[in-house]
Amino acid sequence: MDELREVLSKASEISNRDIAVIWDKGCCRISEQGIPGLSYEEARQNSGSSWKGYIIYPFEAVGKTYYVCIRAEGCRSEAEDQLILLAIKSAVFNRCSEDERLAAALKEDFDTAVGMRLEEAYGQRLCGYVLLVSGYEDCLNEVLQIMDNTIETTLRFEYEGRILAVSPEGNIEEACESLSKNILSELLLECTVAIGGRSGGIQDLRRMLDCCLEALFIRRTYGLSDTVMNYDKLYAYRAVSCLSPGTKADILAKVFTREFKEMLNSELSITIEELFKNNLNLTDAAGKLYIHRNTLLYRLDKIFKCTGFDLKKFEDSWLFRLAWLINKEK
Amino acid sequence: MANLSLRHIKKVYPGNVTAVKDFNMEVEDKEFIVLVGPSGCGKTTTLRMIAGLEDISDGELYIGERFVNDVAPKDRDIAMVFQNYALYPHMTVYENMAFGLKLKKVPKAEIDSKVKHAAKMLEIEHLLDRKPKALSGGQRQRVALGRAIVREPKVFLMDEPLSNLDAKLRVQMRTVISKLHKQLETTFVYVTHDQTEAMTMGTRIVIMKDGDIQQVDTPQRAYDNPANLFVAGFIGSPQMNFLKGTVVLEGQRVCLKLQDGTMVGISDEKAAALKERGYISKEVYMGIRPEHLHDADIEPLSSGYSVFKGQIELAELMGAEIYLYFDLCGKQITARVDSKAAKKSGDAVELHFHWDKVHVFDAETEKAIY
Repeated sequence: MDELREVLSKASEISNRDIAVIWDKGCCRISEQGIPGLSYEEARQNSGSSWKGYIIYPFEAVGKTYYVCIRAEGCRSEAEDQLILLAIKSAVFNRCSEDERLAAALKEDFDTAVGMRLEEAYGQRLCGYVLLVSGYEDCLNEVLQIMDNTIETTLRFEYEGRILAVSPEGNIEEACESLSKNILSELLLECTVAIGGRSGGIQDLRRMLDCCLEALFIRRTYGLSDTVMNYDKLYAYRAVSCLSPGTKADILAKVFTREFKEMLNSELSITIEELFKNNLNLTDAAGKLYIHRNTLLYRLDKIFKCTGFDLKKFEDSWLFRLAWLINKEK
Repeated sequence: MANLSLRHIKKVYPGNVTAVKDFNMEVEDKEFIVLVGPSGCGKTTTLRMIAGLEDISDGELYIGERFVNDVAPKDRDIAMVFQNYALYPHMTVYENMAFGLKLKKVPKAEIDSKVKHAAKMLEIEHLLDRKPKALSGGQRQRVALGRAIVREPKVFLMDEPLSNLDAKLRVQMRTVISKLHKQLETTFVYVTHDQTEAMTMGTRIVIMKDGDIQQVDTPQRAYDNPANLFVAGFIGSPQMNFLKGTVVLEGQRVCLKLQDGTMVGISDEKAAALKERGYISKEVYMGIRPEHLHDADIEPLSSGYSVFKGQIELAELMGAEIYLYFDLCGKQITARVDSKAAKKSGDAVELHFHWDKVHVFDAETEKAIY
């Protein structure tokens, strides 16, 4: 804050104008009289226009929008204003914590210098599996405590309402399953943990974060109930989402016949899901469903009779699975 | 008070998939309710709606006097135990059980007393200093139960908590949970696919199929008087034998005539009900439990009984009992008889059964006829 005030004071001195910075939690101004009672909302509405003798500029820094109000007395120089904005941006950036800087770098393009600075600050802490935990509502602190006791992390901070973490754990899926189960048991909250992949530095971290976000998107789109989403295991969903609407409609029509739609109920849906989860292994799927293998065969036969697809055969099952996934798309 | 009131609860998932159709029941305070049924019947969805982990599409849910449809799970005063649980690997059993209370900032002394009390109930006091990796599967499950007990919730929700244990441990843990229910005097709602668990643990059981309640009753009544063909087949192991037959009048007596001509007598009450409701000459299903078939060689009945005759296809010795499988009217029939019978494949067998053990079901609606 002091650094920002210093910058404002210097800019005001050089340009001989009152300058204020408004952000969502308050207003930092240099003139004693300047910007009385201008709220963040008002600054947003008035951005780019003249308001009570002030010109209001928006600018982004460390992932937040700020509004700079410069008193437009006398001759107003655009270039001078841009310089003031740059100086303020730099001051804002400097007063941020490393985690805030990292968060900002993940949101917007950053130059090599920023990248190197972050690599230097974080070093090996950026190396490991990138995780994104979401759905913890107002229990951030409790979830962080559970995380501390369940999974090893080298880095973690709140990023856009989710916890972004890097973990060096070897068996990452098992660790994430434990995390999700512990959160559920302790807080009765169903958090989702997305695993993006392994990061080796700041550029990877950003890429893996995108993978985490895509995994969460896939979960929503296909209505999946899994609480751990490993991006590397979502190839089928990723492939389906790339199909053209026409192809999707064709595949759907092949499998979802009128008879099949009429027959489809909760029991049959679970049977199909479990069969795919168990890689078409009838014995395993029957075990998970707590039914006799013959009961499973009977259900598959019913599907065959009204769709023509024999799910015991790979040739039939892969197309059926595509149709099944397309049907789940929201 | 921790009674539960589920009033016309419905769950419809996107895509118009109905998981629970119209769940309506009152759970009394301190009851042990078991939801049982095959996979996909809606039992877990119902439990998750009670927990608040699943939105209720329609209907009203009350815990005690409180309407909780929109109350967050953590504010419902419930604890849940899952099939798949995880313990903190670096913490001792004591720390694992205490952690939830620490998160809630409960005073240390109170945590200590609650953890020790729960450990005593679960008979794991001697394990409090151990880490999870040094525990057996059953011991770990007890710790998971302990984590729920220390919260002192109004309602315990358990979702197939024993399914990951081997058969022997499951039997042991069934006893542990039943004892726990008596000691805690709290309402339990327990989900299982295993009818033996349901029968042995529940004060009442809710048998579900395709999102519908089939029957809510005490285990004994569900066994003795199943409401329909599904319940009759689901409760009991080996499952009830079913045969199609026609209701006929033999003089003044109402009987069932099976497809091979075998005549089966029925109790006076059932006969009167069939006559009164116009079932004479109509097709019905008859049901007889394997344990109600007696080997005529060693346990012959003297009065009020009918006879099945057949040739044994397979005999399975179970120790004290022997399961005999034979064919009748094109259906496989199972009999559970004393192992003294010493029967083997290929032997002829004559089995007696009391008329009052015969169940009769409507051939169309599949509902029981009393």
